[in-house]
Parts: sequence; C-alpha cells; structure tokens
Amino acid sequence: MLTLLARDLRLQFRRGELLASSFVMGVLMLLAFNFSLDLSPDNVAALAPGILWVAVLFSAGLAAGHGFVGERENGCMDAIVASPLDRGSVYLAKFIVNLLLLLLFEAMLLPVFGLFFELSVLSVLAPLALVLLLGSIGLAAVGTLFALVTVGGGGRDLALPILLLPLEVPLLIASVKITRVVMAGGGFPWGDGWVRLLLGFDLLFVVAGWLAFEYVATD
Amino acid sequence: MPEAAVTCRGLTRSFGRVGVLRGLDLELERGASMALLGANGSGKTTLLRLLAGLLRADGGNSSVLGHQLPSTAVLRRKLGYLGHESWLYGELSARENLEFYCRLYGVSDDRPVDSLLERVGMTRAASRRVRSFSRGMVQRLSLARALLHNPQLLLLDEPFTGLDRDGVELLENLVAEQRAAGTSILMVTHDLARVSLLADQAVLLGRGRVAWQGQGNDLAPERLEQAWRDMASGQGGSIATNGGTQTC
Repeated sequence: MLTLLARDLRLQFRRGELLASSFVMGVLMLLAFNFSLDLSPDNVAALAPGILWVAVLFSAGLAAGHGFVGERENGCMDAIVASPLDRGSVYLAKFIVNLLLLLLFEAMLLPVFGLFFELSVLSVLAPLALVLLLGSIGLAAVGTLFALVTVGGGGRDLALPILLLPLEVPLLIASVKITRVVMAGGGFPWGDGWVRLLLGFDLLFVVAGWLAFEYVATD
Repeated sequence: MPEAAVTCRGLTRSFGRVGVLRGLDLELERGASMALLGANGSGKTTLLRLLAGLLRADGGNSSVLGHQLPSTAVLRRKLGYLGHESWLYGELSARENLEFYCRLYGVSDDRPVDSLLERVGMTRAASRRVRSFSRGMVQRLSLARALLHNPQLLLLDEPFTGLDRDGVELLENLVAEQRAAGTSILMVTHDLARVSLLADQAVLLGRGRVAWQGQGNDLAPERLEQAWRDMASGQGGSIATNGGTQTC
C-alpha cells in the first residue's frame, strides 16, 4: 500500500496540474459567488459556509476524476488489479492520496476564502479544520470509489459528477450546518446530529469502498 | 502427476448479452507453451484476462498453478502478463517503472532491473520518461516488466505487436529462455508462421470454445491454416491430435 501511495504522490506532484486546476476552480467559484450574491455583514456568516463547501465539493469532484489519472493511461489500472497487492489496500491508498490532495487544496483555499468574505478564519481554525477534515474524508471516500467505477468507461468526465453529486448531498448539508456553528464561534458541536451524520457517512463509504473494490475492479 | 499450469472446465463469460466464452475446456501442462489462435472476438483475450484475475468468470471452474480462481495475491505473484496495453506509467522513467513493479511484486532488491533493462536493450533509455518512447521501446520495456518477478506462468497477448526485427528476435529468445527455465506460457498470436517456434501446442478458439487443438507436426503453418479455414467454413468442432483428428 505504501508503494502505491508513494508512487501516486510522486506522480501527482510531478504533474502538479491537479492541485493547480482545483485551486483555480475553487478561487473562481469563490469569486463568482462573491460578485453574484448581495453579501453584507448581516448575511455573510450565514451564506459563506455554503459557498465554501460548494467550492470544495466541485473541486473534490475534479480531484477524484484526476486521482486515477496515472492508471487511466496504458491500462495501468489493470496492472494494479493484477498485482499481488491486497485489493482493499489499493482502494485505501487511492483514498488517502485523494484525501491528502483535498486537504492541501483546502489549506490553500482557506486564506482566499477569509480574504474574499472578510472572515477571520484564524480565530476558528481548529474546529474549522476538523469539520473540513471530516467532510473531506467522506468526499474522498465517495470520489475514490466512483472514480474507480468510471475509470475505464467512456464519457467518464461527465459520468463522475453525475454519480457523485446526488450521493454527496447529505454530506454537503451536514458540513454546511456544522461549519455555520463553527464560524459563529460556537466551537465544534460534538453532540450535534449533523456531526453524527457526517461521521456515519465517512465510515459507510470508507468501508464500502474498501469492500467493493475487488468486485468493481474485476468486472 | 504434477498439477497442470492451467485447467479450465466449462468456463463461461459474457459481456452484457454477448457470450464470449461458452463452456471452454482447456488444459496447459506445467512447463508447456501453448499458442492461442482464433479470430477477433473468439475469446482469447478474455481468457487471458480471466486467468490473470482481471475478470471474473460467469460459470465453470478454473485453476491456475494449483490455485482455484478467482485469483489470490499468492497466485497473482506467480503470473506475468503482457497485454495490449503496456501497463507502464508515462510520467515515470523506464527504471522508475521497473523499480515500482519490483516493489509491487515484493522483489526484495532492484538487481533484476539493471539486468532486464540490458537484456531488452533499454539501458541507454533507462532514465527517459516512458511517454517519450516509441511503440517498440514500450513493448520491450513491457516485456521486462512482465518478467521482472520470475513468473511461473506467462500470459502473452499478441506480444509481437510494435516490435521491429531485432525486437522480434529478442522476444523469440526470451520466450525460448523462459521455456528452457520451465515457465509455462500461454500466448495469443495471429502469426501462424511462428507458432511452431514458440509453442509446443496450439489451440484454435471459435465461438468461445476450443474448436481445434494440435501439437507437434500439427503446428506447421499450412496445417494451422487448414484448421483455421475448416473452422471458418463451419467444419470446426474437431480436435486434431498428433496422430490424427478426433471429432468432438
């Protein structure tokens, strides 16, 4: 698994295009929302969490599609499947790479978000980082599984967001609700039902991806 | 009696409503080399992919090197596969690709990398990224990749594709070395003239089953062509043995 992880990270950073394209897309979305919505000090705290998560959601979809970019060429996905690696570990390696890239993207986007919406993200950084981590685990888990489903198919760039977005709606709602509490200075709402939903979503899709990889990859 | 390298009994596999393998029976002895022949769509590649663990069968039983399919990690470590695609990362150099596959297959050191690069004539291009390679260079490196972990069964799908005259000679020598070392080989080829050089038995697939099977003198190009013509004209369904022809 570590072999695959190291190779994937090397490929991603050698290309660099994924992080750059996700970041540019995220910034453009924040910019578009900033100009298109009539933001004021009264409503920015209510609207900004939704804007942040929509930007993260779409960039995560883009990242998921690129997560298998190395395997798309020359049939390398077959090479991984035919190798002696445990197939569940292949999923976990891909999931971890997607998660790391998503967290890096969010670390780059967060200062821009604070700047555009005049919000002090530093004062709530710890709980905000936690909700971003929990949301990103779910996004990376779903994205990795469905990117694998579409890796060999035609029209995959179109198929992936169509498959992903409906599934991610619960995660989006939960993440926005929790972020709103965090941004209002209420700390991380551990006992909140939305947190339980987010944790359940993460657990469900990490386990489902790990178990399903064998069947998805060999059919 | 030693276990066969490959045994298939009643193997079936469909894609949607199209049945590609329809009750295929096949046996390859350990250390033997078999050429798989047949028209496009006859199920040759599907069979190799099933044996490599890249596909699941819909029905039937198969065992490879004594392991029942679907394949396990232990079995996959013993297989070498060269297919239509190179399985090489364009962004990595030739050496980095082979080092990656060394680690993937648990080869404890990288020593085979240098010797294989030299064996396939790629030493000077070892540090170049694969994306800059010609088709023939990619095929040579793919061969090295398939042999890196000393597989016990080699699955080769049209391995001569893209090779120049030197490359063809290299491949013939490598196959001969593997045969001498006792590696079992199952090879898809359309090159009837080379079958007798590379294999000691041949199987002609038609309609997802073995339509003809031969060895020894049966592997002469004219006999293979005759078997092919018979099958194409609907007279298939017989199995030729070294001593004659047997009706299924």
